[in-house]
Amino acid sequence: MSLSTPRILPKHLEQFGPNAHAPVNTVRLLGTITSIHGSSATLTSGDGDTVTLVLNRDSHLSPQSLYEIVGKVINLEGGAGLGVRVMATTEWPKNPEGKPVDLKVYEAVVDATHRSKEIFYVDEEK
Amino acid sequence: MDYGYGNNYSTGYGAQGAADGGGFVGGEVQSSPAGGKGGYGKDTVRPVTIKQILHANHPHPDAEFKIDGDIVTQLTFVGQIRNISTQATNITYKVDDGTDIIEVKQWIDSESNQDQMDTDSGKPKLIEDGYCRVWGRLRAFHDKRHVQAHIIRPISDYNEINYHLLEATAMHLFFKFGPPPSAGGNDQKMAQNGQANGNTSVNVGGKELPQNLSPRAKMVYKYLRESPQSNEGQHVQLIASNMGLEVNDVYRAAEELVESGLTFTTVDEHTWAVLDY
Repeated sequence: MSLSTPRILPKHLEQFGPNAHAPVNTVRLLGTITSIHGSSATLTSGDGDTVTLVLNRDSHLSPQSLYEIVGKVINLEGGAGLGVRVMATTEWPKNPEGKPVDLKVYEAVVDATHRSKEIFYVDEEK
Repeated sequence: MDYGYGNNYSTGYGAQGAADGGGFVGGEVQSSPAGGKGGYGKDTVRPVTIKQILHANHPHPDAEFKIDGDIVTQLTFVGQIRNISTQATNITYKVDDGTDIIEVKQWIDSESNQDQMDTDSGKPKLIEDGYCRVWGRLRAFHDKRHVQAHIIRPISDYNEINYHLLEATAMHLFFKFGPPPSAGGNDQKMAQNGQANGNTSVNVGGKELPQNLSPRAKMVYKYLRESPQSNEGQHVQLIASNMGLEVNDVYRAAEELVESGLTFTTVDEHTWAVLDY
């Protein structure tokens, strides 16, 4: 059984959605929480795309902070497209020098994840 | 703090100890003057993902682990601690890096623990759901793998997580496709060939190299081809010092090249020349 949660950007949601035949549909996203409305929130990635998060009771997010989200890609209620049902959140604080985490590096990691899938989330083609 | 315990746990140690006892030693270790006993030359730290650790090739219990065809003993990775359980002799952490989950065990050393209590009180601690960096050695117990940690410390700059994943990818690509293209003509050709065909067939000096050669063997072959020499070829020490490689690595590369019929031994077992036909 694979326990991998590939790192993605909002633009990759489709490939890991319930309708895609993805190897996994639990994913990781890194971005800033830009708004919170009751049980849903919006995460904005470094490239400016957004994704709707469906929160659980344990998620305590504070706006304008950087979070890593582990969650399942789902169809939002009312046909509002794809979103992520949150399973776990981890705040990524600023580094000891007071600088925020470089989101460009995260984009490079996402790129590497999908180019070299075999070391991140799918079994090596034999 | 290093108490030198790490050395006793060397997997290389066990394997080679057995070979010595059997009285049958394949030239490599014994005849290498700079190689040392335990094969420390290959004891380098490799950055990996947990998925790579769990998929590492381990054909039988005494064998060494291999990732992308290269032996790994020491490794390092970054992940999130999912669970901490303190036992009588060790602390076991379940670490998840988004590619898989593995157990990391750290032995409790009562003396050094006391030191840490005194000095570490103000520093960030290892907590559940916190990120950590692990340095350790891959172990297999029955069919289960875990990492015996030398050092495990919390992450304070979160850029380190992304940095590590990129570093692990870079090393994976190095072992899969060989060194990145450089300005030199042959290297360029090597990389392009590798990428275009999705394999590592290399054209050096007009000859097609077999795909299954390790990157190191290719480098040694290229070096032997391009350096001026008599028909006696070059001695292992000379190759090692000119290429900046460990003697043991040169032996392994040379063995591959001889097996593939690309080079042959000349004046003694430690000197090779390129086989031209």
